[in-house]
Amino acid sequence: MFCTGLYILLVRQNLVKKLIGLNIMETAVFAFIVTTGMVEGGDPPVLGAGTGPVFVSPLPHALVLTGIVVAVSMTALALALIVRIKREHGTIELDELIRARQ
Amino acid sequence: MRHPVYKAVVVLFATAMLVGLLQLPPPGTAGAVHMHVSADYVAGGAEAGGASNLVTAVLLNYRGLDTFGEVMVIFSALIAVLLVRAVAAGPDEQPRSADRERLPVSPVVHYVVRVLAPFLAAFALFVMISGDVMPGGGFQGGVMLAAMMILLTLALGRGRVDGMIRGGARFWVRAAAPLAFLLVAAIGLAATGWWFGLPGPAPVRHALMVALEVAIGIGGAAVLTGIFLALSED
Amino acid sequence: MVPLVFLLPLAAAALLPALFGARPRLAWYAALAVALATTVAAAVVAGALPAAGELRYAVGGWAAPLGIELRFDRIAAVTVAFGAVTALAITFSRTLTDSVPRPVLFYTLVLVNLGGLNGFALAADLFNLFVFMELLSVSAYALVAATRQPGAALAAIKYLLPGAVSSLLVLFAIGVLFALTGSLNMADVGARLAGVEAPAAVALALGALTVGFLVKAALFPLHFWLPDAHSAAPGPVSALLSALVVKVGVLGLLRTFELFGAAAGPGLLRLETLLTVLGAVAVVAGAVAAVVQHELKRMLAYSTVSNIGYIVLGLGLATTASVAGSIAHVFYHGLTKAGLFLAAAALVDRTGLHDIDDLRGLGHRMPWSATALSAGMIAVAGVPPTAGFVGKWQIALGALEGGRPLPVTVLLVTVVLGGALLALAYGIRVINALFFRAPTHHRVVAAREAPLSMLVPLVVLIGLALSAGLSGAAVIEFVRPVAEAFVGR
Repeated sequence: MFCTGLYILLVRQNLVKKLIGLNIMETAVFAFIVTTGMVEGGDPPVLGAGTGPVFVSPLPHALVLTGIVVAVSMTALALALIVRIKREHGTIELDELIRARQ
Repeated sequence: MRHPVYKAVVVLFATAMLVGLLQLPPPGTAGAVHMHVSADYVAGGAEAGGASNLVTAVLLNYRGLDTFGEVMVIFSALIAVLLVRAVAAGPDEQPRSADRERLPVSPVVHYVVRVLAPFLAAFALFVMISGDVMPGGGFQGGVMLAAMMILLTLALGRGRVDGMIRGGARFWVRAAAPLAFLLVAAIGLAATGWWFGLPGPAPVRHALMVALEVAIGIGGAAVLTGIFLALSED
Repeated sequence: MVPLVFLLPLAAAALLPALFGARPRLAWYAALAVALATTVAAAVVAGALPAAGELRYAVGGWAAPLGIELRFDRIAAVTVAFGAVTALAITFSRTLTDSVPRPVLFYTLVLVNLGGLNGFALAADLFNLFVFMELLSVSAYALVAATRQPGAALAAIKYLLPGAVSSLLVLFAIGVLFALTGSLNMADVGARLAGVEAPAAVALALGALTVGFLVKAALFPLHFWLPDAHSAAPGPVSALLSALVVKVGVLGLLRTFELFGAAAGPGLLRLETLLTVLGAVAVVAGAVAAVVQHELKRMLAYSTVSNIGYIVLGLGLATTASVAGSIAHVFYHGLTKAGLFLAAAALVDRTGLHDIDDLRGLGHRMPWSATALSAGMIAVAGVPPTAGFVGKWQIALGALEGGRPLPVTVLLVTVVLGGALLALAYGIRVINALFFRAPTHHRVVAAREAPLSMLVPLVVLIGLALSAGLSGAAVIEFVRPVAEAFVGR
C-alpha cells in the first residue's frame, strides 16, 4: 500500500493527486502500526465487565490517533497551498508549473 | 522518461520493506515482545491510568505530552492555513455579505440539517465525555462537532456559521485545547511536582481528564471548522 | 525547568492570536520577549549540566518506558542557539509587516517552530521526537509561503511533499522498532535492540530513519527541495530554515546512531562510508552550484547544501576530531548563515532586487548591510579565524587520521579545501559586485541603509561568526565528549 502511494506521489503530475498518494502512504503506515499491537484473542483495550484478561496493546492505538491528526494537519496545509498555487499560476500540474518558471 | 527511475525506486522500496517486515515477530502472540510496555499499562488498570479506556489513559496520562504536541500541531495547521490564504486573498478583499455565501439548497436539506444539528451536537458531547470508559474521547467528539458545523454551513450559509463566535473570542476557542492542556499541566506541576502529571485523588483526576476531553473536543471542532471555512472561501 | 525550553514558546504561540490578534506591534514585543526568555531558560539548564552527563526529566512523573522522557545533554545545548537566532530573526522582522500579511500569525508560527525545534532536541522518546518534528515542519512549510512574492507557495509545496514523505519514513521506522522491542524510549529501545534476532528488520529501520533524516538535512542528492524553499521564503524565515530547521536532519542522524550503536555493527560501517561519499559530493556540488547562481538568496541556499555536506562528511569519517568538527559546524554555520540571510534580506528588501548583478554598487549606499554580507561570505568559506574554519579544520584533521589508503585521504582533503576555495570564489564575486562595480540599476542608487531593527541582529550574528576564533576551542572542547561517545560505541 505504501509503495502504491509512493508511486502515485512520484509519477502523477497533478498536485492534488500527489497529495492523495501521500495520504495513501500515511494510511498504510498507520495500519501497519496498529497491527504491531495485535494480540491473538485479545479484546480491545477497554477494561470493564466481560472483557479481558487478554488485551490488545493500547499504545499503537494512541500513536495512530495522534498520527492521524498530524496527517490531517499536513493535508489541510497542503490544500491551502494548492489553492493559492492555482490562483497564482493557473495550473496545478507540476510539469506545467516547472516549465512556466523557466 | 522519468518513469523508469521512479519505478525502480518504488520497486527498491517495496523489496526492502518486504524483506525487513517479514522478519518481524508475528503479530498476535500474547506476552510477546511488543507488550513489553503495554503489559504495565494493562496491569496498572484504571486506578493507575485514570480511565478504563486504556487508550485514553495512554493519551492523556501516560503520554500526555504527545497529545499536547498533537493539539499544537492541528492548531498550528489552522494558523498556517489562515496565513497562507491571507496572502492569496490580497489586501483589498471586501468582507463578504452573508447572502452571497448561501448555496441554493433544497428545503429538505435545510430542514433536515436544522433538525439533526442538536442531536449531532449532543452525541458529539456524549462521545467526548465518555471517552474514558468506552471507545471515544475528545478528538473523536470534536470531529463530529465539526462535521455538524460544516453541515450547518450548507444549510444556513457561511455568514451565520462564521458569526457564531464573536471575532475577538474566536482564537480563544480555537486555542482551547492547547490552553486547557497547559492549564492541566501546570496544575499537575503544582500538585505532583511534575509537568503534565495528573494529581492523585481519583475524582480530581477524573474531572481533569473529562475537562481535557471536552476542551480537546471543542477546540478541535473550532480548529477544524476554521480550516474548513478558510479553505472554502472563494 | 527542562520542559520550559519548549513549553514557553508553545504556550505563547497558543496565546498570541487570542491576546494580540489585532495588534501586530504588541505581538512582536511578546514574541521577542518569549524567544529571549526561552533562550535564557535553555542557557540556565545548559549551565546546570553535570560534568559529563545529561539531565533527564520524566514527564508527568511516569518513568520511562511507561511515560515520556526528556533528555538535556550536550547536544541539546544547541537549544540556546535556537532561541537566540529565533529572537534575532524576530527582531529583524519588525519592519517586514507590509510584505507579510497577518503578522500576528507569522509570529505565532515562528514561536511554534522554536518550540518544535527545542522539543526535538530534548526528546528521549521516539514518538515524541516525531511529534515535535512535525510541529516544526508544519510551521516551516507555512512560513515559506508567508510572503506575497510569487512562487513562494510553489516552493512551499515542493518543501512539504518530500518533507512529509521523510517524516513518514521516520514514523515507519519507529513502528518497526516498536514491533521489535515493544518500547518507544530511545535508551530502552537501544538496549533491547541488541538482543533482537532480525537483522533485515533492524536494517530496514536504520535505513528508513537515515533516508528520512537525510532528506530533512538536504544532503545531496536529496537536497532538491532546498534551493527553492530557502530562496523564496521571506528573509528571516530563510535564516531560520538554513540555520536551524535543516539541522534537524543532522540531529536526527546523531540520535539515530546513538540508538543503533550496539546493534547494527557492520551496517553502520557501510552507512558511514556512504555518508562520507555523499557528504564529499555535496560539498563540491553545492559549492559549484553556488558559484553559478545569479540570485543572491539562491546562492546562499546552495552554500547551505555544501555546508551540510561538510557536516555529514564529518559524521561519516567517524573520528573524534571530525565528529566534533561536524557538531561545532552545526552551531557555527547556523550563526553565519543566519547572519548572511538576514543581510541578504536587508539588501533585497531595501531595493526590491534579487540578482547579484543588479545589486552592483550597493555597498556604498548600504555600507553596514553590505559589509556584513561580505564579512559573512568570508566567514562561511572558512578563512581562519572565522566561524567556518573551526568546523572545517577539525573535519580535515579527521580526514587525515583514520588510516585510509593514501589516495582516498588526499581526495578527502582536496574536497575539504576545494569546497572552501569555491566558497571564497562566490564570496569574492558578491563583494566585487557590491563594492567595486558601478551601479546598474536605478533602485540601487536610490537605496538607503536598513533600519536598526534589521541591522542589529545581522551585525550581532556576523560579529559572532567573525570572532569564532575566540570561542572555537571552547566549543570543540564542549562537544568533544559527544564525539568520543559517538566514535566509541
